[in-house]
Amino acid sequence: MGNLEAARGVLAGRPAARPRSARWRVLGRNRALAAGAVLSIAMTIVAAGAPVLAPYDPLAIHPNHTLEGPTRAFPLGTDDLGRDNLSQDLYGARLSLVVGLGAVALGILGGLPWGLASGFSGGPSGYLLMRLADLVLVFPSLVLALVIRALLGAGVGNVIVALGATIMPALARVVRGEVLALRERDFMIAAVAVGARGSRILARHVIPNVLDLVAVLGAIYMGGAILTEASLSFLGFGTPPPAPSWGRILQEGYSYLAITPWPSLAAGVAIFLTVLGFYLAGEGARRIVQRDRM
Amino acid sequence: MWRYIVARIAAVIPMTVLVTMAVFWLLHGLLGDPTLLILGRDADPQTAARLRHELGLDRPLDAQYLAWLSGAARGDLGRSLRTRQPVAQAIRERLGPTAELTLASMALAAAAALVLGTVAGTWYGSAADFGVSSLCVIGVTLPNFLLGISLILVFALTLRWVPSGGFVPLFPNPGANLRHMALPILTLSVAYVGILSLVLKSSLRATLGALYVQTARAKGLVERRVLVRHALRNSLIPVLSVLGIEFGRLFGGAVVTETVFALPGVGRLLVDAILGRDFPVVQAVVVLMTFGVLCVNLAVDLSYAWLDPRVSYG
Repeated sequence: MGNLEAARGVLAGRPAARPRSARWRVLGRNRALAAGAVLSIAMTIVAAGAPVLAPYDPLAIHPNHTLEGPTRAFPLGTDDLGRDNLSQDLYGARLSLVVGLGAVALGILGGLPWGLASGFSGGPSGYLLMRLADLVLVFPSLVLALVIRALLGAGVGNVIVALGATIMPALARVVRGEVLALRERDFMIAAVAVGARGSRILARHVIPNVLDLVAVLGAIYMGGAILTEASLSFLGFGTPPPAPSWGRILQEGYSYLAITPWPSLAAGVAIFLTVLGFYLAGEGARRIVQRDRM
Repeated sequence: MWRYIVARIAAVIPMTVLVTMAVFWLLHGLLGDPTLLILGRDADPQTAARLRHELGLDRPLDAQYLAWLSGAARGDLGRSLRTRQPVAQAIRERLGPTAELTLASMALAAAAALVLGTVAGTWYGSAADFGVSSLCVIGVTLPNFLLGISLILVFALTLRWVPSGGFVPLFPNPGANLRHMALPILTLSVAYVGILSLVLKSSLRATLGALYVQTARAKGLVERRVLVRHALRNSLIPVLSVLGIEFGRLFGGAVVTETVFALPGVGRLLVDAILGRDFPVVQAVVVLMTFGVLCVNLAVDLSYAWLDPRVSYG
């Protein structure tokens, strides 16, 4: 990035970008971000490569090998029907990531305009929009997702809608706070002073300055959405069978816990590592974004 | 001060009414006609009409809502569609395990976070901080059903120290109650310990740099007194706010924890009611949980003044 461009960035209220080498050093010092990035990228690769990585068809039944512990043939054991746990868990990554990604996308699609409208318009309408978000946020999010999912019926899309609905108001709140803080900044006052139209200010000055925070929150909510999806599946309100879902594998294995813990534990650890990855990546990135704002 | 307290308490009432409206609209708007769910899709139209009239579902929605609200204000939450049991009675029977689970988890989490957060915040950047913070992050991201199942595996199935599930009331048998509740309480509190410790750590770190803390040190106070009397007390304010904000998560966690440990609580009642499309029960439980969240947040707001002398309510 040239000096002139950096100077323009400063004038636009953006911090000067660090040189590339310094960026890598940030990653070295920011252990949370580095560990989170490694974990979440690994999970994405697992999800994408499931057909190649899985030793068996995840739904294939091996009747002579039910509820086995780890063997050479079945590295993570088998479930009550004799299905390979490893293959099921690898395919389960796909569903978890798709549902998580869908929920976050929906949450941003609804929450970003909601927060922008509330923060940018100010006045009674902005206030009312935020009280509406508060009203939704009073509900325990898992309970809300449970009720919405139950009302909408089974289906991957309905689970995504239920999870996205709990993300929207939370994101809207944060975006509104950002916009209110931005409104006090010199470049915004200058833009208003030179007579820029509202839509131009929104597009050129407000949205570019909240997007980094939205991306960070997206990663954190992604972990939360995957966890909630697994909880819904565990309670019997997840995505419909037979596509492998970590929460449902865990719940089915729970009945046979005294015989073998492997189906439940393997799926549970997969959920944990994925949630941990996105959480660490998000929190690590948040530290950078917040330092840039000071 | 008293005016503030009264106004703050009064503000809970309209919020609760809004919540009941939202729940009522959501359930009735999306669920459609519950009689078809009870009788099946190809039910005899006359029977369906009679049932609809018996349940009061043939009246306009706002009349139904007002009838429900005035009943609820008098403690009458309607009857379960499946068991015909009064909903208020069903909830009362199930309240014990959930109340004990959530309150004990919160108390345990607050106590543990006070220690862990203080250690991490006081020795910020040290190995102790890194260790505590790593444990907290694991606590926040660990699915509670995985933790619950692992605890059952170790302490109930392998060591046989405690039963793997079920519930015994606190009175008259507190020992047996504790044996049943130890694992569920531990399971539910872990995520909360993580959240609260991390907040206390960063809040304490900020407070320890504040001018009044430097003054206290300059006066020659011993570091422990500076920490306990001056820094810690003010650092608790963000912890309290988060405790209020995240209280809803505790109810969500209770639903899962009660399922893992087969506890006959309100969370399990909710899941069973949703599975059975028993909407008067669903409605009452969701409203009750939300009311609980509102009340905790009210208590949090009122405690600010006690904690921080700078906060005053005119």
